[in-house]
Amino acid sequence: MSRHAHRLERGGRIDRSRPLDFEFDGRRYEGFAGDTLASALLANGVRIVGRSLKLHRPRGLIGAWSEEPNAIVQLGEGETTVPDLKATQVELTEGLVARSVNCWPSARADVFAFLGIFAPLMPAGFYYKTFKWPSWRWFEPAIRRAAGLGVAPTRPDPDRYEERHEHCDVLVVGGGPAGLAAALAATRAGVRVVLVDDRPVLGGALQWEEKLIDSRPALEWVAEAERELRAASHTRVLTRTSAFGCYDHRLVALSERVAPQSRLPIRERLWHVRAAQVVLATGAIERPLVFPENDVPGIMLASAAMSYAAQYAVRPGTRTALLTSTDFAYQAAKALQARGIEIAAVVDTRADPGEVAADARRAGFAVLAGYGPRRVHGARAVRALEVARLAGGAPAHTEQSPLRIECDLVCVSGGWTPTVHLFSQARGALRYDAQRAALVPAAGPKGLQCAGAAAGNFALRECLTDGFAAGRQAAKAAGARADAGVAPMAQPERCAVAPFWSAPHADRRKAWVDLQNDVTRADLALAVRENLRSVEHLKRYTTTGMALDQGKTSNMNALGILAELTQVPIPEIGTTTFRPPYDPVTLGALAGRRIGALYHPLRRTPLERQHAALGAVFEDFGAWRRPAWYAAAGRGRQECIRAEKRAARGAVSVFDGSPLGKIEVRGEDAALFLDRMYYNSMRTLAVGRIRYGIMLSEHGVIIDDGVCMRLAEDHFLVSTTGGAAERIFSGFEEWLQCEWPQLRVLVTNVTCAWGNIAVAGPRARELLALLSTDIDLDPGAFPHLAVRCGRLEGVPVRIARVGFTGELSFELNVPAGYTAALWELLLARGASSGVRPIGVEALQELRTEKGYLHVGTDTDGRTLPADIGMGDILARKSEDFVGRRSLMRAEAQRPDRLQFVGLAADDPATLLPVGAHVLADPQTRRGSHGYVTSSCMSEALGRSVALGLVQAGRRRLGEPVEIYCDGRLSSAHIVSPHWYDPKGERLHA
Amino acid sequence: MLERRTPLESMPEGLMPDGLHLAAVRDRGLLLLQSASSPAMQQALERELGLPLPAAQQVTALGEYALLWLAPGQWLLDLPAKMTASIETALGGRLEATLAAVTDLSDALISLELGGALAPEILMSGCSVDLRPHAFPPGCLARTALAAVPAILWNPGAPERIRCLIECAFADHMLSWLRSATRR
Repeated sequence: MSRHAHRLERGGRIDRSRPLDFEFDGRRYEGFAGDTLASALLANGVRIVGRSLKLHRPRGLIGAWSEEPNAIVQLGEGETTVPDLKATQVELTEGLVARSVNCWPSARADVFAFLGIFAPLMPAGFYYKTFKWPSWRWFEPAIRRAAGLGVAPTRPDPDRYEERHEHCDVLVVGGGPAGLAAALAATRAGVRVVLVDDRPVLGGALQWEEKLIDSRPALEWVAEAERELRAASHTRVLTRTSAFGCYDHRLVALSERVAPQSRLPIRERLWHVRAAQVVLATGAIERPLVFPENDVPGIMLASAAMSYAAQYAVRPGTRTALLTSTDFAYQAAKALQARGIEIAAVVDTRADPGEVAADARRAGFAVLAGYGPRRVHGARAVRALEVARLAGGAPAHTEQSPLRIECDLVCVSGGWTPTVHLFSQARGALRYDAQRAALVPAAGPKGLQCAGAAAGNFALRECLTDGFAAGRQAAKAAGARADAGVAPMAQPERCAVAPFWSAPHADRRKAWVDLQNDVTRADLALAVRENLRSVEHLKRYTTTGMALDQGKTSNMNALGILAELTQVPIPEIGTTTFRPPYDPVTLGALAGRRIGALYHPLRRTPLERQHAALGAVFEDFGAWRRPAWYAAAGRGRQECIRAEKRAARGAVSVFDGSPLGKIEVRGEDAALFLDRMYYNSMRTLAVGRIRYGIMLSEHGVIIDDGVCMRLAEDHFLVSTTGGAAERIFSGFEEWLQCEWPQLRVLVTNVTCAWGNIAVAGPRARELLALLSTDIDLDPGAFPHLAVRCGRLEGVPVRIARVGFTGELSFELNVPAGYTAALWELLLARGASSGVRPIGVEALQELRTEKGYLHVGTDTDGRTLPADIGMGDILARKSEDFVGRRSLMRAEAQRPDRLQFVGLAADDPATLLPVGAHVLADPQTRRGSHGYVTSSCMSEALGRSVALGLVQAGRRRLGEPVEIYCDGRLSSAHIVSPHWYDPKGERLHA
Repeated sequence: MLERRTPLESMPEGLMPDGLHLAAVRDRGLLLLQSASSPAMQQALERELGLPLPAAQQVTALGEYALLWLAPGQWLLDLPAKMTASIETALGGRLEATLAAVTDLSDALISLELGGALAPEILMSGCSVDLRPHAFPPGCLARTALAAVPAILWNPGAPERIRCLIECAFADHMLSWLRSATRR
């Protein structure tokens, strides 16, 4: 076939001086700049552009834009490939490579076409009925492989995507006549306007319906309107931008395909637009008719045929029959004839179409009124349309019928479906308008309105006046004072419709409702017979409207057919829910720049650079990036961690504790407030002293632990675990603001204001003595669990005698900016004492052998204070506290709860794996009595140590147990968790 | 005396593409002021600095001092670093009799200034507040999320400038985000 064999001699908004080479399904073709992939394929005579999902039937183009159900392509190759685009929306570029999805090797010659033979075996609900035994899971992998549409790239996307937030007074979605009129009215009124349209050019249907506006060609009016809008500094015009989601309070999500000719290295941009007023001028989508064999390539929406002919100068056929139930088809007949396409006949299902048919007959068209479709001749392309006179809604055999109309194109026009997706997503209500045979917008959310065809006003004249009025009204509601002037005007036109939902037929020929998912009228009828009569059930059972196109051409027909089958009027049936996105959105656009290092914001400590210089291996702990351990040349991970632990037990270690949460609690009721927040009593804490405490949820479950320091009578400093600072602080605020506003307390989160370095080990005091400070470090003056404020090396410091290692320990808190210098000073001065930085791994092992529990590791979402051996406080504490009531429940007092204990493997060289279960019955290896929560090899003790939660564990100290993990059994004994220095003598050194 | 450092030490400064200008705001101190009673705070600030309390989501400024509204009963005083300790003590003294707190947050937050006509657009690629001059004039303040982390944004009054206060732990994240936002 020669290039451009189906290209019209003249016309079209393509650039014939810029031919573009492209490849489809492995064959090379040529198109022109301004073409879409679909129009270029049609110009080259490619009729079969895709295969259906289930039966792999050959399919041709039905639509010309987002409504297209058949021409689904994989665009590009390698890492930039995009699956599942509609060829009708792909702008042609030089060297473009595309292939149709769901077929092999090509749409033209698909080896899976044999599946059509099995069509009778695949009725509605086929999956539910067939793949039941032994279970769906058994079949799922194979079916998923066979059913895939398109492929995702396997390598990272090299393209860049952007995100932008935008605010405006009036957002107009849709750049057709109504949208342009609305944008003009709002712009002239002087408010901030954003106009978006998903096509590369503005004008909508005016691009192919050759009409007059204000007595001149409509496209001249479009060009002038665009100039005026783009010139206005307060108006932004976005083309190639799909408004795909409409959310609460007029937040509209847009996805912009950055123009191919743009020099920005950005592929797509995601917009979040917050508008004071939204005008949805999203137009309407033409409906096909449902009749036997209505999926043969060459059957096309009348509007699409007009678009191909007028916009792209492509002849979709040489001789066409128009099949219709509306007045619109007569316009289409005239327009197509003007482009040189022979009109075989206009077949109108209405017995008396009135004046519009009489006019057409006078103009020389053959009009068959009261006729309906019987079938189509041709398998891979339309050869003829067979029609018959309708009797009682069905095509009947009479003397003149069936009539066979020879043609290679059938233009169908079953009425218009307003594009109310965005309106409905924002919870706008819809109403069935019988006269227009359409669901039209009814009551909408505040500040959101539909205009033009989206509101059911299909004639151009009404689109313009309605759009202009909507723009004017929206601008006024947004505070505009200026006048918008006069609305543009057009000629009146006829838009009558009498819905013809489907042609009933007795034979086995298939009448398709949803072309992409292969749903037929018979499938709907079967579903109804099986009593799936709700539209939501029908949709899921038959999958109608669930394909990539989300039923843009099929939902309304399915609804009409359901109404016929069930004898329930459409308003009572209702409609399925519209959900975002209106059109598919790439994951790249949704991810934007939140990839790689920017995916999850991590906090860094003030010592980040110092750690890196020391060879730290960083890991993410909660929201913080922290050194897990410090690597040394020629040594493995375990060896390095062992060396760190040796320094902490034998000499002195420094640990970056800056992520520890720090919350100041001040005011005369501070002690009372903390008494309520902590399980432990805090009112009795003396000034200058520290107490370990746990906090509970209202359910009594331990949510955090840490120390609480009393700096003054009315001033406390609460220390939380690293990841919990914000959570605990917000909890404090909530209790104070909502429950106890009368308490005289102020809380301040100072986590980032202070750096924290823990100096721990038997030589810790020796190291600190080398620094200048006004604080007396003598154990008599500064005992374990005391806090002192003063100055260290000339800067403010809070020193706390607490730690997590079980050794003599000082936590030095200095303003965050001084932390790095202090760290460097400690390492330099401590060289002779054998000082060593330790990471989180070493600390975890040190605290495990000490038997200090770690909330979240050694406790779970059920652990209560009594479970960790702190039950006695409950009886002693008279004041109320958060969680108290829950601790009174019978469940909380059961003797067989999981309790915190140590687990000693009988073989000291055996490391009990974390997560391993304590067997309830070692003989049968069934049932669990708890599990291992922490485990490590202890250098200091020369054996493995473990902690765990075991049923009634504390009563069972000394009892032998079997521990099971991944098929391996280990014998162990339940012991006290305090492995190392059980009397705590080292702490008090 | 120990040397004081900030996570912005190694930040490259100067002009970026499209006439954008990014700078660390240095040698400033930040005092968080909390009070159960606005009149008491108002009085203390007026006597000490002659600064009126700002309305919600506003900033008042006088000379080298700026007072930022943060929340009901919470303000942030942006002041010369060398004055921080003395003002902290002085305000603390004036508020002693009431339920109030003055906290030095100089090291907790970093302050960045982004300038240039495109500054609002760059920030709005990661922030849902309208920062364009007509919607965010001098003296305006917003507490919001910028690049998915908490931020205080305010307009210091100079044309085409926006200040961002970010938790210092997120300094590296914010700088990499700004780099990616301004890459051309």
